[in-house]
This record gives sequence, C-alpha cells and structure tokens, in this order.
Amino acid sequence: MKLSVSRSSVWNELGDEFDFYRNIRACGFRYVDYDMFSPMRTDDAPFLKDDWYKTANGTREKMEKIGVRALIAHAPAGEPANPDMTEKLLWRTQRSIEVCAVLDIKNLVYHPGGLMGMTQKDYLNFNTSYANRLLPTLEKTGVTLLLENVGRWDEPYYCHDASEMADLINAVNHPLYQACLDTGHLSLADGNQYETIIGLGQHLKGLHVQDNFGSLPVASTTRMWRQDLHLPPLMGHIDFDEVMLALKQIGYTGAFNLEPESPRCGCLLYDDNQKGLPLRHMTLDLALEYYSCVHDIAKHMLDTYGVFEE
Amino acid sequence: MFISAAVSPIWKEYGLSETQCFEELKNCGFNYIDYDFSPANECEWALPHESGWAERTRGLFEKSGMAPAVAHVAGYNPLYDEPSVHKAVLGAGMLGIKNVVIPLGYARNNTRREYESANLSYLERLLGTAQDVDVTLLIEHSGSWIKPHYTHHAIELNHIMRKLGDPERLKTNLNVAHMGVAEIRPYTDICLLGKSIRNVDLADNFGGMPLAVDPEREELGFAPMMGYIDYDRVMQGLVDTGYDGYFNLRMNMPRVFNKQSTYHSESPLRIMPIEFTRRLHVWSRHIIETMLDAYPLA
Repeated sequence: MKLSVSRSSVWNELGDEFDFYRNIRACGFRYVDYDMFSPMRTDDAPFLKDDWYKTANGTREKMEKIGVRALIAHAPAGEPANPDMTEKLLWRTQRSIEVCAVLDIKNLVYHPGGLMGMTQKDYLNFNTSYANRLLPTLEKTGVTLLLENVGRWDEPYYCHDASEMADLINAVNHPLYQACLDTGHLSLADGNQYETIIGLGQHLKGLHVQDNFGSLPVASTTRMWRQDLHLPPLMGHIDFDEVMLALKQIGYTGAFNLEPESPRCGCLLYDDNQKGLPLRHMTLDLALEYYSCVHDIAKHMLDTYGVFEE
Repeated sequence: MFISAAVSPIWKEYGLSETQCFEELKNCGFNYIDYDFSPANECEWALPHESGWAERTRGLFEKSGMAPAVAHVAGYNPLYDEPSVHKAVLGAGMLGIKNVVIPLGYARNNTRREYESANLSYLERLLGTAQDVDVTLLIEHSGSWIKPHYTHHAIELNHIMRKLGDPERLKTNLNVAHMGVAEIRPYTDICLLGKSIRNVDLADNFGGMPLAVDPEREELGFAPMMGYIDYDRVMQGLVDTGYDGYFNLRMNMPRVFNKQSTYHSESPLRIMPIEFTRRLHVWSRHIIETMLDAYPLA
C-alpha cells in the first residue's frame, strides 16, 4: 500500500496548497489526498471558473515538480440532500471529477446526503438518484466515485456499516461507484473495523485513516468536535491490528490515506480574538517534527504487516 | 527556566528499570525529573521501606545526571490510605526533594462539608510530617466533575489554604490537564493562585466528558498543544503572576496499552514502539521551549 496524507484536515501550520506539498514531502510523504473539500465551497473557486482546465494542468505540473502525487481526492463539501444545495453541489462534484482526470487521480471520495427525518428508504432513493446523475461524468473520465461512511448511529446517514454501504453501492450498481472507509467515522458509529472491511471486500477502494476515542452518549450536534478528533492512527482507541488484518485479507491495494487533523484546529473553546496569539497553532518547525513522526508511525504499521509500497 | 519530565506509565510499559527510565528522559533532553511515588512504583521504586533505598536512589540521580525537580504522590486516596502518603513525603525528604504534589481524599457521595473537614484534618497531620523533613506540600485542582472533589477551582484551593492559616509548607501545583478536564478558564485561576504556584504540570486533553463516560477519555495525557487547553492563557497567567518554577511534562500519549480495544496481547500494533515514544517526548520538549520563547518569564 502506498502511504498518503490528506490536506483537508491539516490546516494552518503547513501552509497553503503548494507549501503544504513541499512541507509534507519533507516529512516523508510522496503521495497526497487532493483536497477539493473546502477549496470548492464558493462559486469563485479557481476550478469553477472558465479556465479551470488550465489551472488543473498548472497544478499537476507544480505537484510533479515538488515530487508529490495525488492518489485519491476529496470531493467538494456540502449537503447534497439540501434542496438549496443539490444542483450546485452536483455541478461542483462533476467538475471535481473532471479535475481528478486532469490530475490523474483515480478515486474521488464524497459524502452522501442525509437530512433529519429522512427514512432509510428516502435516503437510499435520493442517494441512488444523485449518484446516477454523476455516472456520465465518471464514465467519460474513468474516475471512480467512492461513497464515504459518515454520521453516527443517531444521524440520518444510512451508511454506517458495510451492509448499509453495500445497499447503496448495489442500488447504483456501477463499477465506477465504490466505497471509502473512514476508520474514525466507523468508530463514532460504534462499528467493527474488521467486519466492516471484510464486508466491503472488493468494493473498498479508499481509506481515511484516523483515530479517536469512540462516540459520546450525547447528541452529535452538541459535541461532535470532541468526538471526530482525527487523531493520527495509534493515538486513540481504534484497534488498527484489526484494520490491517482485514485489509490484508481482502487484498486491498488502494492508498493507506491518513486523515489527521491539525492539533487544535477543531476546537471551539477559543474565540476569534485568539487567532493571532502565538500558541493558537503550532509553529512550522513543530508541525514538521510532528508530521514526520506521524508518517513514520504509519509506515511502521504498514511495515509490520508487510504491505508498505514505495 | 527548568523543564522536567515525569517517568510516566508509558515508559513502565516497556519494562524498563528505573535507571533506564532516567536515561531515556535524559536522552530526550530533560535534565530534571518528576519523581513518582505511586502504587505502580512499589515494586522497584519502592516507598522507603528498605534500608539504603534513599542512598541508592540518590546515586541513580547522580549517575544519570538527572536532578529531582518535584515529586508526585499519586494513586492514593488519603482518606483510606493516609500512611502511604506520609511515607512518600518522608521518602521525598530523604531524597532532598523540596516540593511534593499530594492527593486530596474523597469519599463516594461526600458532601462539600465532609470533604473539607476530612481533608483539613489530613493536611494538618501531613504538614507535621512535611515540617520534619523540610518539604513543601502542593495541592492541585482535583478530579473531574464526576468525582466528588470540591477543589475544582483556585478559589476552593485558596479556601483550604486559608482555613489552615496559609502555612508556609502548603502551596499549589498548577495541574494544567486537570484544569482542562474541569474546563476552567486558566487565566483567572492562575491569577487567583498567584505566588502559591510552585510547580506546573503540563499535558493536554479534550476537556471533560458530558456524562460519566470512562474517565480514561478525559485525562488523556496528550502533549501540550495537542488538545484543547488554551496554552496562551496559561502562559500569560504565569507571566503576569511572576512564576519562576519548573515546567513539568506529564505526558502519557500515545497510549501504549489500549484498554478499550479488543487488541490481543500478541497484536503487533498494541504497543507503540519505544522509538516513537522517544520522538514524541523530544517533540513535547520542543513544544514547551516554544511556549517559553513565546511567553518569556522573568
């Protein structure tokens, strides 16, 4: 497995896009998860303009020069099931698929749509129809769209485990529509890592590897930021031996893609007045030391199971 | 400014001897140590029952080049095991350690009055022992709100000291991680404690749990600045109160033994290789140095 890292959760310390690539390369990473999650939130995003193709090509050249390659990508953020958002997000996701094709990224991960009060049947119908509308772009580009498990047990996202994810994948029933497992989200939904990975089997084409301490017995909206901690692997309570064993058993060949969050970036205890304070975020030197260690811990995990690939 | 580190349970999980633990911390760049008097240490770092214990331990300090900065008496509830705390304070005196962080006792469902009364009597007795061996006792913010402690805030710690007549031998330890769990505004509490702070324990976490969830999920012992504690306010408070004592790392991350998981003893990823524990300790020392650079103390 090739070891990659997501930029979507690593904010601030490692700099803007190309500084991030340079810095993360210095930490040992050669592969990244290309981030279109936040950068495509607004209509004036560079990839949503007329000259997006030129921008994408320029990005590809710069990444090659720095020596990093994207193996997987995050699709634009938003709630597809929100009627005010559906068409806009669909268009942005179509564009992100086209960007993936230019950047030679084979897998794009997206969050399915769910609204409070939605039944499982409504959820399945809506998301099948939404995915079907993306299929022409996927077929044109050869990119695979990966459904990510999101939401806790008390949220209306009916793709908490392998069986629920398989329901949607089977309903769409297309080779370019597969699964990405987020180990941290699964932990929040009290899921079993081993069984979920075995259950997904050959549908599993992507990973978001992150750790936490499980879910809290409170409404997810109130303290979600204290649960979905996005810690590096082996720093929370997830049993990564189970994860590695299952990945080996299914012959997983996708990226071992880390999704660690910058320490402190998700904390809501601070106010905006503190943004400029010196200890609000780590210095670049501290961040480089930290992410080098995170890289080596993940490499150790892959080496232990004999699956590390340069 | 002096930076010290505790021989936390991380190191013990690797089966290291006391000398090896000291050497590990020395190699991580620490010159001062937080000596641990806790039940977990009774095998090798025994309370001073044996003759020659103090001489041998002082020899270890000398050999490793590590000077003791502070001692912690942890893991005892003095309401049920007060003799062990006295014994530890005597032991600290024998090692020449001047500041000893001590626990306060609590009983299940005790009221505030019962808590205060029991701890005042215990502290009066312990101050006698401390006087005999020239040691200062440090009390600290105690427990998360799920434990029936009534010393969550500086105002409560100050109240206890005042009730005892503000004795010279009773001061405070600023346990930043405990303040994090209790979700206290650090600046205000530090200012309230002021000059009574004789030691600062550094670690981080993600705050208190809303219900009686596993307490292990509260006091996580992450490196400073890895959790949600507002270290800008902590450092500003220490600058403004003129603190000039030790900064003591009490890190327990990453977990070396995953108690909540279904890991098996033979699972190769159950224990973090020692190489990473070393690196994370060095990194934590760099974090503390960065904090001190950003907020220079007098």
